[in-house]
Amino acid sequence: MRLSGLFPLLAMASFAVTTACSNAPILSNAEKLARAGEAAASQMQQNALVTADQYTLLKDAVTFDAAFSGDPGNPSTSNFLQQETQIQSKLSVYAGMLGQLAGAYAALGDLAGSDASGNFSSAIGMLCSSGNTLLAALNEAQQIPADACTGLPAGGGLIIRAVQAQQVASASDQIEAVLKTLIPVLDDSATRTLIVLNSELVQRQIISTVKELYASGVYTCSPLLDELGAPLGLKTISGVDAVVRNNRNLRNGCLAFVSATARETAGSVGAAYDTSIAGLKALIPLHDSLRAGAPLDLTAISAIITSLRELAARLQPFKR
Amino acid sequence: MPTAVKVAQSLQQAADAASDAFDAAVAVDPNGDFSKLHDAKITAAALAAAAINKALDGDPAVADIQKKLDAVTNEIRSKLDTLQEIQQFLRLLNELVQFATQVSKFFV
Repeated sequence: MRLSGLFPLLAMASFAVTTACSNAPILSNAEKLARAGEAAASQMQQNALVTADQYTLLKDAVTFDAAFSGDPGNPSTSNFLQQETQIQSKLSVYAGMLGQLAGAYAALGDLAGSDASGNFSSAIGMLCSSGNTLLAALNEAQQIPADACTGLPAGGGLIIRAVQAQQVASASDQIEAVLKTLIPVLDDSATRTLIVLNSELVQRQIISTVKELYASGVYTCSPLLDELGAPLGLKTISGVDAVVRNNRNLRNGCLAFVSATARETAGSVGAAYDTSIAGLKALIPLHDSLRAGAPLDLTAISAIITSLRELAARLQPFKR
Repeated sequence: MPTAVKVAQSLQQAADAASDAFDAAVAVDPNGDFSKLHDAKITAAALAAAAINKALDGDPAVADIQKKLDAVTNEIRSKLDTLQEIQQFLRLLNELVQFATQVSKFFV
C-alpha cells in the first residue's frame, strides 16, 4: 500500500527529469546564442559609433580650414555642417538599433539562465521601437510585425523548465522576426553606398585641413620615416624636418602616406558596414537551429566578430 | 537614367576634386590667399552632403547634367599636376561648382 502511494510521485519526478533533460539543450543553446548575438551587436554598434566620433573632428577641421583660408563665416560652411548633422542623426539611429539588439540578446541570455521574462519583454519592446525609428529614418513604409514586439507572460519565481524553454523559444523567434524585417532594408546597396560616400566626404575635409597644416610646416614626417627604416635598422637624423621641407619629392612622399591612410580608413567604413550586415544574417540560422533543437554552429558568427574587432582597430585613426 | 545615389556619387567626386585642387594650391604656397578657393571647396562639399542627405530619404529623378559635372571633375583631376596659378585653379573650380549646383537642384 505504501509503495503504491509512491507511484504518482515517481511518475511526476520521472516526467520532470525527462522534461528537464529535453529542455536542457534549448536553454543552454539559447545562452550560447545570446552571448554570440550580444557580442556581435555590441561590436557592430561600436563600429557604427566611430562615424559619430568623426563628426566632432570634422567640425574642428572645417572651422580651422575656413579661418586658415581667410574665409570664416562662409554660409556654405554652416550649410555643410548642418547637412552632416542631419546625416549623423540618421546614422545614430542605426547605431542605437544595434545597441538595443545587443540588449535584447542579453535579456534572452537572462531568460535562458533564470526566469527573467520581464527583462526580455522590456528589451524586445525597446528593440522594436528603435527598429521602427530606423525604418522611418530610411523612409521605409514597413514596420516590424506587432507580434514580434509583444512582451512574454511573467513566469513567476518557480517557473518550470518546460515553460521557461517555451518562453526562450518565443523570445528567440521574436528577435529573429525583427532581424528579418531590418536586414533587407539595411542590405540595400543604395544605403550602403551613401553611408560610405558620406564617410569619404567627411574624411576628405579632415585630410584637407591636415594637408594644409603639413604644407605650413607644423607637422614632422619623422615618425613615418622611422617606421619605414626601423626593419633595416635605420633611423632619421636630427634636423630631418628641414631636409624634408626643402625637398619637394620627400614632401610629396609624406603627403601620399597621409592620403593612403585616409583611403584605407574610408574603405574600412564600407567593410565594417558589410561585415555588420553579414553578422546580422549569420544570426538567422542560429535562431533556426535553436527552434529545431539542433546544435548551434557558431563558427561563422565568431569569425565575423573577430573581423569586426579588426576593422574597429583600423577605424581608430579617425576616432576621437 | 542615373539614380539619386549615382548623382550623389558624382557630387562627392566633384567635392573630392575640389579638395585636391585646393590642397595642390596650398602646397605651392601655404601663405597665399585661399578665400575664393575655399569658397569653391566648401560649396562643393555642402552640395555633396545635401545630395547624400536627400538620397538617404528616397530616390528622386535626375538629369544628364551629371555628365557635364563628371567631365569638369575629370578635367580638374587631369590638370592638377600642371596648374600652378591660383587663378587657374579658381576658374576650373568655379565651373565645377556651377555644374554641381545645377545637379543638386534635382534633389529639391
